[in-house]
Parts: sequence; structure tokens; C-alpha cells
Amino acid sequence: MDPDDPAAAARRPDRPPAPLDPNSTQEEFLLALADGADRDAWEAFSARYGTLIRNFAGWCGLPPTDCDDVVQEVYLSLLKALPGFRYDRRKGRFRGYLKTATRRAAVALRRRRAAEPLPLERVPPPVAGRAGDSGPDLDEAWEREWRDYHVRRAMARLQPEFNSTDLAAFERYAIQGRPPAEVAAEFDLHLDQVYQAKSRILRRLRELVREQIEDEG
Amino acid sequence: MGSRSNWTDDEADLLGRVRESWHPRLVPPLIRGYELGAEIGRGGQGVVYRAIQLSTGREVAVKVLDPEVSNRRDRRFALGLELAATLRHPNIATVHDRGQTEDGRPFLAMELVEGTPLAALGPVGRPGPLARLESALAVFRQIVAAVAHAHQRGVIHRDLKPGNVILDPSGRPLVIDFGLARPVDGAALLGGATRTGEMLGSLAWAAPEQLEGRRDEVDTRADVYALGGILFHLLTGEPPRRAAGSVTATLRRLTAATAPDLRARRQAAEEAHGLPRLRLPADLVAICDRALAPDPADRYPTAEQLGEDLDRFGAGAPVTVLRHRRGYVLWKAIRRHKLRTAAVAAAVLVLAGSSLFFSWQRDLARAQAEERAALLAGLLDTYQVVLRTAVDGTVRLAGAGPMRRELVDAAYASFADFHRRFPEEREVRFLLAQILDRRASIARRRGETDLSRRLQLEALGHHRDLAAADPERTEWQEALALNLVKIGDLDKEAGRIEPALERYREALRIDQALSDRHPRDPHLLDNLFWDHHRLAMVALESGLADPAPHFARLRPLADRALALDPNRTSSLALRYQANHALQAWAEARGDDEEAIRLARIAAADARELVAREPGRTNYLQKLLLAQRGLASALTGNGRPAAALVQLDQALATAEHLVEAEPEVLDFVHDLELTRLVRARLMIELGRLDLAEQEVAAVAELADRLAAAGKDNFDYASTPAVARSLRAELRLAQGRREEAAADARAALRILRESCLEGPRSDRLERNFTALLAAAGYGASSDGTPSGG
Repeated sequence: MDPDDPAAAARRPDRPPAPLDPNSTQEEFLLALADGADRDAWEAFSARYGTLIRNFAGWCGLPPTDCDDVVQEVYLSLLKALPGFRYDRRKGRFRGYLKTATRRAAVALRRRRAAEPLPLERVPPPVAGRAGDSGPDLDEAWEREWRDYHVRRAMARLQPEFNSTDLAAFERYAIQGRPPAEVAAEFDLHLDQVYQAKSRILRRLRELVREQIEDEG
Repeated sequence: MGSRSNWTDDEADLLGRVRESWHPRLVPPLIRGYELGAEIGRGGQGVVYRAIQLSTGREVAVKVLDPEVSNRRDRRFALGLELAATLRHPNIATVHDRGQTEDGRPFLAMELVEGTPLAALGPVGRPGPLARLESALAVFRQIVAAVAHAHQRGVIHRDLKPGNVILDPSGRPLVIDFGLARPVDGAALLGGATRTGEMLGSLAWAAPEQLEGRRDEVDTRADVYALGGILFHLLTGEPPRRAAGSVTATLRRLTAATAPDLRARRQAAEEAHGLPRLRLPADLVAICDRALAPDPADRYPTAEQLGEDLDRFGAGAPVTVLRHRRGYVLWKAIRRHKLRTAAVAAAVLVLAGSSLFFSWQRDLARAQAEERAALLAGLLDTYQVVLRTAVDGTVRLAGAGPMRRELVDAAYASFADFHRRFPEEREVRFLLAQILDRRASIARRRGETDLSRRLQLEALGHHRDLAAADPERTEWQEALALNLVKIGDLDKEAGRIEPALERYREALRIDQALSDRHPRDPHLLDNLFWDHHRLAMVALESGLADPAPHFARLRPLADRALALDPNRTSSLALRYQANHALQAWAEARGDDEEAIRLARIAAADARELVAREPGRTNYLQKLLLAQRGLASALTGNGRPAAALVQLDQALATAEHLVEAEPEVLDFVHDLELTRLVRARLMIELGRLDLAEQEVAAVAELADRLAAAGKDNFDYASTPAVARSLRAELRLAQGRREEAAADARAALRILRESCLEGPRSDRLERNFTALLAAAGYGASSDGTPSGG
């Protein structure tokens, strides 16, 4: 790109920093992680996977601050494993790594916490029923959090593509479950437009999720 | 693999996921019994809407929490919220109702507070409702009362800050968001990077124990700290510590253990914003300082006590900070004056210190037995503060030497008197011995070795009696061992090796027994380590004992200390010291490869130490030794050019040290030694012009050292060594006659300085060999012996 091209110069500031952008590809993301300064790399990682890891750790029974520790653990271990992912982009490799690293960190921290005496105020939530360190429960929980992560990211990505009325109608009708006629009246739309908003947004959501999973590696 | 994304086909499931995980909503959620209106605010915890409670018709603020924050699994959070909802106070925003939205998210209906957050008001002097100091303090007093009310009901806010206090149009402050705080700490900050801006906003107001993640220590005193921050904000318009820059830098700055200087910051704010001059009353400054004390133990225990002190201040009565803990005041004075010139500080402190002791002595003489015990305890407590902060705490501080000395001398005078009057009080005796030790250390740092030894021997008498009187007191046993070690050091420096070894061995026996009794105390491991280290090094240097068993203990001890706490800096220093010592041993055995390996590890640890505590000359000195050690290992391995590069770095470090504390002779000696080694290496590499300059520099430093420290072998022998160095240079230049003259001069200076012992003998042999190499015989008349 010609650096003197005024059009290019005008476009540039519009682009958010690549690693934090939910639209950046996994390749860009991993690159940013490898090249970034401490803080940038960490923020890119936390923005992309922080909630997923935190939620999963929370499911394991860890209190919020411990969940934050798990995010850090996974980040640090990923940094070490990074070169492997940048040169070997086989399907499922990254995803499998993330799952293993998160599970390992969460379970280790939970064990450590279980060994510590707790002050009364910090009685841990009961972990019965999800107490196992492995097994179908844990897999299921991970799968659920992982899907939520993709939905969250895809929802963030599709926002700019739709007008706000469509999005609001989608929210009222599809998410909050209000009757379509009520929604049409609230936003001054045709009934058809309400249905259409839902199906268009839902279709785009599916596309984006599939694209993300494909790209994830 | 197509099946991976098949789950998106199930529409109901997919929408369920959106509901669960996607929070930034475009439309307000639906809540039975409420009509939600416009969004008022959005924060880390959720979104706040203006709403009407249909049953009562009143306007409320509805806060809909993100599922992440309310975290379905966190019982502690739920409990805090439940308690907070019961608070009823005119200055706390009331929680009217709680429940779940139609789509399952928790919400709170709260008193709708309209007004301006304190964050947008102040400081005193700026036009507005808080322009006058009296009105700002009246508002602050109400905030304190609100927090005190919550504390009495077991609710800690944990996220108090000017943004969480709203001043309504009638001038009434309202504290919002009780029970909503996620624990704020460093880990949470890093973990919450998606909300970094907001978290940083909270961090500037959070207490150090919250920032450091010491979660179990977070109690009412964290709120007291935050209240101090709000007062600070009202007076200066800024948080006590600024949060800006990178996350790690911010954390480091925020957890720095110094209290902010309220008066200076107020003045800076006045200058920056053209505010009217405000003379802050000393009592108010003291109250703010106590609330903001880095150590929770130094703060008001509850908001109520802070409030009581504010009332006393308002009524013109003495505030508790100034009345209650005289030691604290002294500590404050020290903190405050630390940054000013040492002379002023010394004068202030000695005056403060001695008048304090006089008044105490008077009280003590008049007191009854039980009262006496209490007074004595207070006195000892205060004195510990003086010793630890004014004396030990300023050891690293450039220019504080004279102040330390005056302070310790004054303290000794009053304490010796104490001991005479109350000879039975062991605690007094113990402190007296400690003061003697400090006096001895100061003397030693100034090169007054004989005086230092006399003082230490006087202390030894006290320590022996005390240790015998109560063998169970770890502190007293430890002090005895330390005292023995210090006497041993002085013996060693004076060339009395056997007595030194004896002292070290006795100390080792005591420290070993202590460490066996308390195996998890890293501090006792330190002591044990240093005993072995001394024995190993002295045995190696003197050849009078076998160093091997002591060297063998060093790394295991350091590793054990690190295993107890990997983050403990002094344990890292042990590991550095172990590798550094082992390197010297490897060199002595001629194992150069191993020496280089160990030297590199040691240097890396030393760099880490300096990085962790850049202001600490002690670690800088270790870095210097490591750099020189690596150079020495490289030289031994036949790589002088690489060694010279290391020595350039070492020289920079040494100059830095002398610059930091010019009066410390040890550092001058370090610089001299570094230059000496450089000069030798330059001669070896044939860079004789450079060596010429270096040799001159060494001579100058040597004269300085010898003039300052006559009783110290290391210092007193430097001029002779410097002269012999010049002989080496002349020899390399082929100027034999001059070389011989210098070697003879070295011998003469050595003899004139009356130094004795094996080290002196060795030097004499070296000089004689030099003379021989120059082509002259060993006789001091300098007749050519041939060739």
C-alpha cells in the first residue's frame, strides 16, 4: 500500500488494533501474541479467551479471583507452546490445547485450594456432582463454554452489519421471547420484518460461528 | 470436521446460548413489576436503567447484573449482596428490591440518586459545593458515618471511591454500590483486562493488601484506606496514588510502601490549577496519613474510629494518631524527612527521640509496678520502630550516615541510663545490646574497626547472659549467633583467622539448633546459610580448615529457602550467593568450565535481584561481584578479551555504587578492586596505554582508602598493592629499573603499614617475586641479581 495514498491514510485509523478485533483471524491473533509487547499480547489473549476460561474455571467451583489466575496460567503456558501452533495448523490442535491447558490449570488450582484452610467467609461453593477432575461432566461443561464463546464473538462481529431496529427486534422476539406482534408494534415494523430480522441475524450468526471454528485450528 | 459446528443447527439451543452469553443489549430487559426507561450508566458489573416500580409508582434505579459478575456459583457474592440490601442509612443508597429479569439475569432496584459523583467535584478551593474546607469535611464526615454504619452490620464495601459517592443537589452524599464489588486485586486486574480502564479506575483507590491479592487480609481497614483516598481526593483532586501506564508498572507504583505526601500534593494541585492557598492543619494531615497507611495494622481499625478522630479534630481536641502512638509519630517524621537533607532530619529526629525518652523515663520512675510494665512495653515498641526505620531503614539511603550515627548515639545514652536504673529488665538489656550492635556497624562502615570490635564485645556480654537466661527465646539465641558472626568478621579482617573460625563455628551450632527447631522459618535458614558461607570462604582463603563440607551445604540451603517461598527476594539472594561462592571454589580447584557456568548463573540471579529492588545498594554490590566473578572465570579459562567486556560492565556498576553512597568505604574498595583487576587484564592484553590510566586511578583510590581506614587490612594494604601494580605495568613496558623501584616501594609501604599475618606474608612474597622478575634479587638493597 502506498503510504502517501490519502485514502489509505484516512482508512487506517478506522481499523482497531488487529489482535483485539473480534474479526481478526486466528493467524493474526497468534502472530500478535508472539510479537506483541507484554501488555498487547495479554490483552489480545484476554479479550479473546478470557471469558471462556474464566467461566469454565468458575464451573469447576473456583471463586472469581481464582478464575482470573487460571486465565493467566493458560496464557503463560500458551506463550510457551506458541511456535508449535503457528507452524502446524492442523484442525483441532489449538482447540484441544486450550481445553487441556485450561482444565489442567483449573483442576490444579482447585486441588491447591482444597488443601488450604479457608477462613469462614470464604466457604467454597459445593462442588459435588461436578467434583471429578475429568470425565463426561467436565467435557460437557467445556463444550458448553466453548460454544458460548463462539456465540459471543459472533454476536459481537455481526452487530455492525445490521441496523439497530433489526437488532432490537431480534432481541425482543428471538431472545426475550416476546410475541412477534408486540415487537412489531414496539418498533413500528411489519410482522414480516420481525420474522426476517430474526432469520437473517440467525443465519449470519451461524455463518460466523462456523467460520470461526474453521479458522480456529 | 463438519460435525464440530452442527450444534448451530438447533435454533432453540443457539438462541439459548445467545441469551446466556451475550450481554450488551440494545433494549432494556423485561422485569415483572417495573417499567424500564433509559439507560443511566454502564459499568463493569452491569447496566443501570432508570425505571418505575409499578406497585409504588416511585422512580428507582435498576441495575441489571452481568451473569459473569453475579456469578451463579459465588455464594460469597450473594451473601454480601443480601447483607448490603438490609442497610438503611441516610447516606447509603437504599436497595428496595431484588430479583431476576424475565430472561434470568439478577437485578437490583435501588434508590434513584440524582446528583454529581464526588469524582467530578473538588478539590477544596475550586468553586462549587465543596469549595470550603469546612463543607468538604462535613460531607466527608457523613460518608465516614455511612461506611461506619455498614461496618457495624458486617458489610465491607471494598470498592469505595469518589465515583461511588454521589452528592445530591441538597448537598447530601450518598454511597452507592454496597455489596457489589468484585474483589479488587492485582490478579483480578490482569484477569479483567477486557475492562482494564474501569479496573484501573478502581485500583487507584484500592488498599495495598487488595492490590497485592492478600485476600484474607481485606477487612474494614481496606475501606478505611479508601476513605483516606476520598479525603485525599477532596483536598487535592487526585487519588493518593496515580494509576496510569502499563498494568505492571501501575501495580508496582500502587503497592509502593510509602505514604503519599498530602501537603506537597495539595501544593502541587494549587499551582497546577491556580487554587487558593490552603494551609492544611497538621492534625488533618495526620488523620489522612493514618487512614492511608500502607500497612493495615497502622490504620484506623474501623471507619467509626476514623470518624471519632475527625470529630476530635473538628472540636480542636488532640486526635488519637498524635496522642496514641508516639512511635507512629516518630515513624511519620522519619518517612517525611527521609527525602529532605540528612542534617535537618538528624536534628529533628534526635530532638524528637530524646525528648520522648526523657518524658518516658520520668513517667516510668513514677509509675506503679503494673503500670510500669505497660509503659516499658510502649517504650520498647517505640524503640524498635526507631531502630528499624530510622537506623536499619536508612542503610540504603545515600547521605543518611551522619543522621544514623547521631540518632544511635543519642539512643545509646538514654538507654544505658535506663539499664542502670532497671538492671533487672531483660528487654531493656536486649535493646541495649541491639543499639550497641548498630553503633558497631556504623563504626565498621566508617572503617573504625577497633571501636567496632570493642562495642561488639560489650554486646556479646549482654547476649550471652540473655541467651543463658532464657534458652527458649529464639530471638535472643539468634542475636547471640549474629553477634558472634560479626565479631568473627572483625577478627578475620584483622587477619586473626583461627579466632574468627571459632566464632563462626559457635554461631553455626546455635543457628543449626534454631533451624532444626523451626525448619520452616526461612530467616533461620538465611542465618545458617551465612554461617556455612563464612566458614567455607574463610577456610578456602586461609587453608586453615576444610571448606568442602561447608560448600556442600550452600545450594541445598538456598534451594530449601526458595522452596519455602519462591517469591522471597532474600532467598533468591541466597541462591546467587551459593553459586558465586561455588564458583570461587571451582576456580580454586582449577575447574574453569564449571566456574564460568556458575558465574553466569550467579550473574543472572544478581541481575534479577537488582531488577526487583533497584534502589538497594546491597544487590548492586552483588551484581558487581557477579560481574567480576564472571570476568575472573573467563580470564582463568584463557579468554581475557571477553573478561574485559565483563569488567567494563562491572566498572559501571561500581561507579554507580560509589555515587549512591560515597561515604561507604566498602564501595570505594569495590571500585578500587574492579579497576585493579581491569588494569591487570589490560596489561595482559598488551593494552598498555589504557592500563597506564587505570593504574593511576587505582593509586588514587588506594590512598583514599588507606587514609580513611588504617585498622582495616583490606584498606590499609591497598597503597602497597597499587604500587606493585605499577611495577607489573612497568615490567610489561620493558622498563625494568622503574619496575624494580616500584616493587621495592611496595615492599617498603607494606612494612611501614605494620600489617602482619598470613595475608601480609603472601603480599610480601608476591612483591619479592616481582622484584625478581624485574631482574633484581630479593634483597631490598636492589642489587641486580643477574641477566
